[in-house]
Amino acid sequence: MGIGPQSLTRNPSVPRRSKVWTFIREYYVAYVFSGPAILFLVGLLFVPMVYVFYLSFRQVNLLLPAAHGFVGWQNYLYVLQSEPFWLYVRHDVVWTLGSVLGEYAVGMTTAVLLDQKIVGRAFFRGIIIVPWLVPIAVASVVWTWILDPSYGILDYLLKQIGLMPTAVDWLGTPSLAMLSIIFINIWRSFPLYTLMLLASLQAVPKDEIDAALIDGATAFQRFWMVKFPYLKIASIVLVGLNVMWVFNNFSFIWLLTTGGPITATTTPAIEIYQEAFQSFNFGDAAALAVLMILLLFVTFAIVRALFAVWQKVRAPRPIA
Amino acid sequence: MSFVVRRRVTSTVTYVLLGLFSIYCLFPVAWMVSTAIKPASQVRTDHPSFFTGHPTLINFLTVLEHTQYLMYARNSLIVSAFTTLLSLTISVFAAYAIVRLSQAPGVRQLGSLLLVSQATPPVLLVIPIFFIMSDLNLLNTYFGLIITYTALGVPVCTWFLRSYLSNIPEDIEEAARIDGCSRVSLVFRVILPISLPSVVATGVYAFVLAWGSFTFGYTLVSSNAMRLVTPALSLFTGLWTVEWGLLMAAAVLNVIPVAILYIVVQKYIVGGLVAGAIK
Amino acid sequence: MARFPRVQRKATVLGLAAALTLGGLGTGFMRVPAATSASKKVVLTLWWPNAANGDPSEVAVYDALQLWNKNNPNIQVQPTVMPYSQIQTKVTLAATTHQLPDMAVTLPGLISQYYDMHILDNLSPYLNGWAGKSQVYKAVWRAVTIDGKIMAMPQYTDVRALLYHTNDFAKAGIKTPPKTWTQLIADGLKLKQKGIAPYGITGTGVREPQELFAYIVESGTNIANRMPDGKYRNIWATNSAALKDATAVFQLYATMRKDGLITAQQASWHWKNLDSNFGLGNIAMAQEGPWMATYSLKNYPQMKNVAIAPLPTDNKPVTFLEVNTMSVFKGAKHIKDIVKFLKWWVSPAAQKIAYPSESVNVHVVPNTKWGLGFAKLINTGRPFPDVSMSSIEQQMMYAVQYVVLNQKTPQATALWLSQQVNSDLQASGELSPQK
Repeated sequence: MGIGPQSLTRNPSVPRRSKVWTFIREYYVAYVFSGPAILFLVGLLFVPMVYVFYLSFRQVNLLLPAAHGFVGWQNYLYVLQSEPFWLYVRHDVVWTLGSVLGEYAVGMTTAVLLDQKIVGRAFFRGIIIVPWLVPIAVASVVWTWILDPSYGILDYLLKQIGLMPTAVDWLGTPSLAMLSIIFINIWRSFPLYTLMLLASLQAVPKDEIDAALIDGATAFQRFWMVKFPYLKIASIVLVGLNVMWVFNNFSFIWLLTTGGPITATTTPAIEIYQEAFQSFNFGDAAALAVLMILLLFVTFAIVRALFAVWQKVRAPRPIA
Repeated sequence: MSFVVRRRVTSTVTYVLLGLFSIYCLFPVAWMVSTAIKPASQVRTDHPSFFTGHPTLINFLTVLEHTQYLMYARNSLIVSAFTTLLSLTISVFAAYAIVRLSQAPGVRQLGSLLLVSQATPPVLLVIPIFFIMSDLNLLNTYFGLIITYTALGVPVCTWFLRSYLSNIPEDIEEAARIDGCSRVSLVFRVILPISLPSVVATGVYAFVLAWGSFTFGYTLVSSNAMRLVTPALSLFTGLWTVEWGLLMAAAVLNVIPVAILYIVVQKYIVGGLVAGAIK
Repeated sequence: MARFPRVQRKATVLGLAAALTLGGLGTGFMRVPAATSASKKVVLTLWWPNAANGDPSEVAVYDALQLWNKNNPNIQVQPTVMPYSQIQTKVTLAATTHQLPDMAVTLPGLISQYYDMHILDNLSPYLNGWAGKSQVYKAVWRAVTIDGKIMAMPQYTDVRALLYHTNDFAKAGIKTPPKTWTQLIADGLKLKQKGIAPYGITGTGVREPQELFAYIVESGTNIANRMPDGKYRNIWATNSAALKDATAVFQLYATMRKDGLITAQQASWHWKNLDSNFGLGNIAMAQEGPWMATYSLKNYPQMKNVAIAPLPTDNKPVTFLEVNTMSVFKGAKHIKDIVKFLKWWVSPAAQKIAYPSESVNVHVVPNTKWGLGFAKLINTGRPFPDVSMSSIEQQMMYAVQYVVLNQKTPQATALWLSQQVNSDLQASGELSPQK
């Protein structure tokens, strides 16, 4: 099929078809390559999300099959009014911030330590990755056993060295349960931070560090002024992804405390499970889920806006 | 303080700190192994110890001989291996499209969609995915599990690979394209070899994800013959008492395949997953 | 049958089917062949919590099933092992998509729920007129009957009693087991003086609401009362006498906690913690059931000192009657074969092997302290009310934890629980509007 200036003027329908043809010729590779990913994303993540969104406006209570139907905002009102929803959100914020900040701190410390030229670096790096290889279900049973108030090794050791007079029920005391699961989550998740931050550290150009050394910069200055800028992108990706993962996490909390004692570690994710599988109320569970996603999006929008403002404020100052 | 002294202090502090972190990392694993090799009488005791005078393999033998652990492990291996292969294939091409072919409308946005998808609480997906698999008649099949885990793994895998591929200079491909190489063979002949560490590391991520997944593993499987190894752990807690020795032996066996995989591909990890994920 | 709107799901399916086609992978090659029906052989699927490698008691249940499978090559029962919590989740999901097994072992609180979901098969037509029916305790049949219909097959029953270690009692100079709550506290204090941990409770797991329920019915009230309109309501907030009874129950927990008969740690005890601590002799008394007999078979030397007494009570000599059942789900193809199996399952032949000391069959009472001690209490047993219990059970756990962890007063706890129960009843459509 010839495409020339003549055909363009003579027949207006041909160029339009040709445009489509050109478009396909130009881009089909891109769509063939990304197609499977898009289909998986749409078929198994976005369609379910839309379905849940749809459920959230319906009464779907397995115990009351006759009453199924559209109910507007009623599920949302029920969730927001009669459940201690905001208490659970507070728990989730503590759980997320505690875990992510802790993981970041431990990950950064270990990455900086491993960035030095020391004998046995590969050995220590190998050890530090170990927790990440332990599946969450395994980590939960192992920690439950370690923290067992009757026969657990931790309470025994702490008593032996005189740090504690009596056994402490780490997962069963309301004031300690959240701290304990955060500690365990940090243990399981920090290696990914270490690896990523370490790789970024090793990508810092050597001459910049040497220049800083010659200028007489202290170790802290070298880290903060020279190396940290190279860690920014890794840090944003790590923190961003993990905030979403931890905020939505269900299995770790469920396997360790099932949201207890009482509701001390109950987060909206736990509440979704209980609404769906203990109260058999899929409509309320769906409304909770939509609220969770909204909360995440609102949080990220606010963080982005603050970030933009911050960039503007400090923009006039030249950066060294 | 002289330079030499300062260096010595620094390295001592480094070793002490690394030692402490190593204990933090290994303590639970060591306790797991230690409990698994103890005779039953030394497991529940008022004076627990890491060491036992009578190490025994009885817990491991019980798990391997009296339960169908090996069958569960085989199921998990099949599912995890195919998930890894499928996720990698899909992710490599998707990542390549995002990096190199992003002039096609919508492809650039795919990158952000991948991240947005991570905001979905997995516990919320349980119900609709169960319905989908049920309608497709894929409950209790390897295939149903594989595509579920692939869907969960593809976003992060693509994201990791995308970052890595964007570091590869475009001119490397030019020569091959001039030779008349198609895009597909370009990916296989040029891109894959260069980014092998990153691909391997991403593969480990996909494998660990599928191997360790708990919730979908038990909701999508009802038959004993198809059971996966991580959800099967709950079988060792016992109905009436927790047999910690058996449970820990099962836990050790659960971690071993992942550990072996990691040891085999260790050298790729730091340069791979990581180098990719940061840019 | 609860069924979800299919239109939206079709869209999902289409999207996914496209994904599969593009992935270039067929589905057939990996599908595990379904149990064949080549011959006349029938395979009945059963979800249950007994692991073949588990406790002696679990193995015994397995042995009974093996015997059936050996003698009935044409009606094979194929069990899949999973913990109770997974059975509940999976039944819920399966109920919405017709993926239910033929049978599942079901805890007492769930029968009414499955009944409300319309997924249970009514067994009355198959059991009325059956000669073996009279071999099962009347109290047990009552517990599985809803609206006059038998909705599940009882398989074992665990009535609750006070279990105590006689050697501990001897050390503290206590001659007879406590008969009232006041005596329970007094005896507890004596034991404590001798350095013996007096009492044990559970704070989590399905045992906790059962334990609490036993004290509630002893006190003369109920967690949910059947009102004249046939629906249910918790009356503690509106009836001062009932509130007094309920408060007394939480006061018992509070006093035991204050006097050190129980510890704060026990608020997180699961039945596994309670049973093994009692079995090891770490605590002198507990509300327990006949399952403890199996601890005496294992390596628990302190079990030989155990004696059984009715629960101490200040009001009514009643207790909790747990009836564990096999549910038969609607749509099961071979209902006749299922019923045949279930009739055998409650016969002495099966019960003697599977549940020797927890049998629902009046003829299976071993001549031991366990068999005799519990069998005579069965008729004082009260089952849960016929309402959806699982969210209520969760609230009951919170209630006991509030008291034991000193976070609410007994009366405040009773009022809080009353409100939660009624709100859960409302959510499941079972709340009576009458006050």
